[in-house]
Amino acid sequence: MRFRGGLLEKAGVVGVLVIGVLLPNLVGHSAATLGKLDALLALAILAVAMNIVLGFAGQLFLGPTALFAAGGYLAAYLAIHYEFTQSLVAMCVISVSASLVLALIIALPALRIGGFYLGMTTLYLALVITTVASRFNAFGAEHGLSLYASLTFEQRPTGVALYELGVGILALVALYSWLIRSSRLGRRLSAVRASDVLAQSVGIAPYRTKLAAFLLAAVPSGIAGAFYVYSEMFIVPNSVSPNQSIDVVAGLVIGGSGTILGPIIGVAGLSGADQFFGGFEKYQGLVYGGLLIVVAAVLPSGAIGTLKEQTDRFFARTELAGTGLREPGSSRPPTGIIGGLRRFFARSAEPGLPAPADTVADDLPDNLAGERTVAMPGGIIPPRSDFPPLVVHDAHRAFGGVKAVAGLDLTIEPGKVHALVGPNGSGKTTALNLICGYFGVDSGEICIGEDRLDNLSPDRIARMGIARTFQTPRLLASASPLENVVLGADRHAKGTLWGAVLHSRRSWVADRESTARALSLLRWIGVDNRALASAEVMSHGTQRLVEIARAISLEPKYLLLDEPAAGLSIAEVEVLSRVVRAVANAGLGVLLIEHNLPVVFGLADQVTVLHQGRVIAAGSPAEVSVHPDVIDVYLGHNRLDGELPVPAPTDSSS
Amino acid sequence: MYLFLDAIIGGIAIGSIYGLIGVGYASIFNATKVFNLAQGDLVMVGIMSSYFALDVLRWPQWGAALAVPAFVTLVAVVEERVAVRFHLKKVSANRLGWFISTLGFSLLIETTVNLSFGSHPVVAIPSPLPLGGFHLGESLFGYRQLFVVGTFAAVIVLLELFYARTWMGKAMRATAEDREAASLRGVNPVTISRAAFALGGLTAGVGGFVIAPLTFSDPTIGLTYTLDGFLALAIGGFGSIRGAIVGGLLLGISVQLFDLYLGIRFDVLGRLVLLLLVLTVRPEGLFRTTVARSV
Repeated sequence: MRFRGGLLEKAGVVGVLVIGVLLPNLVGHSAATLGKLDALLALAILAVAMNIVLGFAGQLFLGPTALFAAGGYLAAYLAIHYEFTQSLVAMCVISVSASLVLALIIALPALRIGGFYLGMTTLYLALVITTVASRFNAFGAEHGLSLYASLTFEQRPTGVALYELGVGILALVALYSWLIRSSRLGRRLSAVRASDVLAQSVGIAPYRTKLAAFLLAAVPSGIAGAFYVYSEMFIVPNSVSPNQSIDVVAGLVIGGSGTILGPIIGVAGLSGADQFFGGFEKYQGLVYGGLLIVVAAVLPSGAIGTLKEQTDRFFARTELAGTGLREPGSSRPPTGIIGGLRRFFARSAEPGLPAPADTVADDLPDNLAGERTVAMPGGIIPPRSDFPPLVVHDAHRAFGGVKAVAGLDLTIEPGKVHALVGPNGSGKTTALNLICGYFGVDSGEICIGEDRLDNLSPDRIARMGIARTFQTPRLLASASPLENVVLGADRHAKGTLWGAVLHSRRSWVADRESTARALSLLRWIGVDNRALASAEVMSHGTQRLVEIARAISLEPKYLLLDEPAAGLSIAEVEVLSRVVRAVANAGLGVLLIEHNLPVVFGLADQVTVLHQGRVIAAGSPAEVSVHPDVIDVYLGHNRLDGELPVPAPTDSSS
Repeated sequence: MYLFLDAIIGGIAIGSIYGLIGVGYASIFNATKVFNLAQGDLVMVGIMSSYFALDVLRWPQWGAALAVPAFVTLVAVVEERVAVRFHLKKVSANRLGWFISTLGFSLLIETTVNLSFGSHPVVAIPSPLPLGGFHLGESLFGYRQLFVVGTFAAVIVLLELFYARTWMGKAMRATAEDREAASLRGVNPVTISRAAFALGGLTAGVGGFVIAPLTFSDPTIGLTYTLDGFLALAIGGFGSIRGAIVGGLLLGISVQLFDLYLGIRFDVLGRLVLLLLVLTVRPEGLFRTTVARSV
């Protein structure tokens, strides 16, 4: 039996919950103890919720108690004044609404900049909520709000039963966050965590995705606030101060952001130690601070995350050479919440992906990658030819005084390879960035048929069918090639995102199809024997090929490659050439930016030569290679008799 | 009318405090692109060590004026070594590791100060200047307030001179522009980040010493300063000294006007609204041009 970190984590979550259930038997049933335990539970729920933003989506959110407090205060306020809002369910509804509204108000502007701006703004929000609450008599000022004053308020259930209910809520919230992480939405979040640019290149809108993460996290945060108020029966400004926020974030990060178990262990462990071992709280800041510095430096994925990675590394050692993937089974797909539960306990290696086979499928050495590339299996790239050419007309773009692109005209025909060459700094990459929307044009037009592309957002352009790669491959570093390519294949997955989060049957099928497509693409480029290894340990060339596979998996109309052959081995260049040719044969338009002229002239149907932002020559490879200006630019004035190191153009259908 | 003038004067004085904190942030951020979350705590260390030197040790003012900035500079240099340098060396892997790390350091500072001074009653810290001040109509511009404003102005002038005239200042700007290119030209990035933190610490120390007489010896004030300094910079624009000046003064004056016209209860809320407004209308702050992204 194969043992992996994911399994360890699941076992850990279950173990912690069991300990949670038994805890009153260990530490006592007194009201005071249960009160402490309930508060701890609320913090743990809050941490698991915040992990969706901080861990999954990688957005700095430093004010978890702000959402918690807003919900808690409103629920308490209403419960004091209106009898019908006194049940736990009603308080949850109120608290969740307040938390959602506040998340929206703060995230809409703050996400526009993101980064530490978001962190500081949300931390400030936590201060604002506390300060406002402590200054208004309606919220009890410094004394907070107490439900003891209400004659009609009555806890149902009470005592141990209420505590056990809280453990149940924690379990559900943990499952909720697991469902998100292991869905298509979870993969989107991890793309956004890696970088906005990466996310946009696969058609993901970063802003909307981050906002979704915020709202998804706000729901359980509100529940945590309601549970806190309901069980403690009071809420005071001090218990929701920014310092408390920092403690929650610290516990989350130390425990392991991005994992399910880490936040629970981190917050419950650190805050629990703080509450149950007297005198510790004076030194709490030293412990938190020291641990944070250490974790940030050497354990970026926290205690549990590191444990998970090390487990994977240790147990994968024997089969790293050839991690074959089992074909997805034909049994009925587990769907819905129950199915989600079943999948939670299943031993699949990667969330949402089929389990790896126990046997070593094939064991090809890396350097034979080229020979693995047989004819393209049918269906990888659906042949198409029903779309107009991509036209760049008189595009200009200047950076300060530098005219990077000055009057570029370019037409990429479907089914053709169009090469864009030129010396360093001639504006090739800028041109590509203009087409893909990473830079706006100062003037000029970029269109496909009637559709104008210029000044649309990059993710929008990617969704319109323009896929690209980068000079330095941008992959999810800690993920496998398979996950990277699935990220692209997800673009055409059927079913709604909600369905995906709930693990509907449809999304299960969609995931399976995406995985199968990604696998056949990886097989095609000769990386399938390493499909589940970590992308960051792969050679530069492999990373490039994986990135190209991801771009193709988007099923684009146009594929734009930025120096794809740079740093590739001879065998890998061979794979690349075949891939490019096959893509064009399938009817896609290819824009190839490349310095390797033999590769360019071997592949291209059309060549455009840029020099200092201007087109100096355009035409077939044969025409361009003898063009005097081109020779001049490449070889200099004194070598007019020189020739470019170009082979005779080969038959393009080879 | 004199209430309004009072609010403006008070706003300029408080704004200078925010500006001083903001300038400290900016001098670290400009060279290292690190937003030092412990900056407010460094200012707090400045205030608390002023208290320690003046109230406990009974040092003369000039002694404290020298010792306090020196001590805070030392703390900042230690912070650079312990919590930041490691993250500057790494390439992009964990882009915001320094954020968590400086947050951790701020906890260390706060707890250490709390353990040392937490039990003492919060007291006023003596000032080198007498009470009283200049009369502007019915309003009073206190000498102590003026001292803060003057120090803020002096710090700005000295910093501008430092960046424009000295080799180290130019090297810092070069490193901010392109760390790799600067190191190829013989600028040692480690020297730069250490110097940047020393500069940030010095600014925080001077600020703490100057602010001390206007506030109390409260070791928990650090986080508030951290947040206020951030607000000033976010409003004014990150990465420029001018942004810190404009942001600080604008924030200070608005806060006073909030207090005057809305009541002190709304002061924090008013600031949040101001921040969200700036983030919505001009996300990069009032004094900052958007930098083109490179892919």
